[in-house]
Amino acid sequence: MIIICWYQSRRLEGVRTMRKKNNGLLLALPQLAGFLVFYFVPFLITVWYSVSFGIGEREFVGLDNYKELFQNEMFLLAVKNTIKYMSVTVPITLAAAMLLAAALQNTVKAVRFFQMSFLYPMILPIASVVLGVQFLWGAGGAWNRLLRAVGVEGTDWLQTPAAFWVLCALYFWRFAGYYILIYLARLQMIPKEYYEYAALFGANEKARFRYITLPTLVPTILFTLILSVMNAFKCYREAFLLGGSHPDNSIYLLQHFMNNNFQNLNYQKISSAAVSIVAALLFVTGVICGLYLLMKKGEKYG
Amino acid sequence: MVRIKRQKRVIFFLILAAVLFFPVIYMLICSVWKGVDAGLSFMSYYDVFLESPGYLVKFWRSLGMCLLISAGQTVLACMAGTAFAKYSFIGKKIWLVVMALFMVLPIQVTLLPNYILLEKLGFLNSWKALIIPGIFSPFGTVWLTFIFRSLPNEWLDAARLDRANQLQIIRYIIVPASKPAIVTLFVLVFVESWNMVEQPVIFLEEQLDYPLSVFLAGVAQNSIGIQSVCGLLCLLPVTFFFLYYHTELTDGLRDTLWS
Repeated sequence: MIIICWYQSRRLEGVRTMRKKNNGLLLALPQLAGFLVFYFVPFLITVWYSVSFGIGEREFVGLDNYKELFQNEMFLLAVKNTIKYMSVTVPITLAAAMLLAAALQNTVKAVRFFQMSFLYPMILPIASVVLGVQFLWGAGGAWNRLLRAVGVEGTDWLQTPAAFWVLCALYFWRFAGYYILIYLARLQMIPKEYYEYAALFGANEKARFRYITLPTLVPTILFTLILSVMNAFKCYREAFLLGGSHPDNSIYLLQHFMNNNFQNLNYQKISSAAVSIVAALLFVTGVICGLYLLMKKGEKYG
Repeated sequence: MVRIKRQKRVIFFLILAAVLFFPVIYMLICSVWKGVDAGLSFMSYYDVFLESPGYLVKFWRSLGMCLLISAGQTVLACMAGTAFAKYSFIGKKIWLVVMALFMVLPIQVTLLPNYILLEKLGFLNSWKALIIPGIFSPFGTVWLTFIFRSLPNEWLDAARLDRANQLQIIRYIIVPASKPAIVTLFVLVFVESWNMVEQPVIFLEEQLDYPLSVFLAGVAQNSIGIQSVCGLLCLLPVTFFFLYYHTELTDGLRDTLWS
């Protein structure tokens, strides 16, 4: 009897503390359940598929799928293109956005028109933008008509290696404004006195940018870096709408590789490619965060 | 001197606007300009809006789908965001990190098992396959968690003293206090689903079922006029949101920084 009473009281107490500890569970439950079912568990299944083989019963095969994947020519091409695309677009866009933001810092005072028109390209539907691009550089586009007027025979530029640069330009056009807005917002928090003080001591514009503007922007740069990598992965949409599922070799991206393998439902290839992407992303994020922490440490002791 | 400065500024603004709005301007021109001999004509508008109802049907259906996705995700994200920011439950921190990671991952990573799952549920080849996973995307929750964290806890305590339950706290305190962020989330999710390409291409077999985003690429290949009218149609809802909510949008997108 005593034991039951003790047990009951313990249980009640437990429930009470549990309730306090878990008071948000019900609120988060719908989202968490959906996330588990449609994102997290599928990812675990992907990992399992990437290390197993077989049609009915799947057998563990270790890294065989990966070996095969990294000998696949199309995959290597896709990796090369994706890396090339990212290493062109991300640094150029961020650097240009930063310089433009610094240039706009004192000339324009948060004019609504500016902010709005910077954001508009980001929000435009890709389908419409791609139509516009096709009118410009497609087979019967404006650029070709111009060339014909000069006497040069044009081609469908979106089926040549020029497509890669079109894709890069689209990324720049789409996101540069957003990053400028972010940098501008951060720059406006720097007190004006800093610049006046520096000017008093004879610091020229370059020095002021280097020693005042840049250090303030470091955490923001990190934030935009992650953001821009995330956005760079979404360029598949532009590439697909421009060139279909088999575009010119120069814009054959990792996402093309994976989407095309859906046609024959090659589980091994898709899943091992997916896990490789995740691993690469985790690695890059880790390196960036590590560098940031190192820099912070250096500031503290240096 | 002043006048020159102003002229320079006006020219600069005009160039900027021309670059940023180029697809819109270009499509507006293409939709009415029929070449040198035909001149101006509004036939393409007539074709799209009155002659063949297919385009408009597609437009309204896509619009409905995207509104469903963004409304669903916004509601779920408000609830889960509050839970993550202001309440506690088992494994809260780990969940947040995992969700943030999935936010960055490209969609292709989970597409294959999603395909198998949707096939088992019988959702393939219907728009359910596009809507339901879209609603549960982790983006909204992560976004709102960081926003909600900056709200003062005292507000919640005050509401609790007045015997408000959790849903009331969300409805009357958290949502009104972070309206720009929530509107921004809604618009961003809308844009995201309005641009949906990967999922329809894989989950839907029938090309006629594709939403406007993919359908547009293959529309009336031989008529630039019809193409540009459809492109403009596709622009409409987004532009409406943009003009209507521009204050909230600029503030909301900027404020992601401080959190």
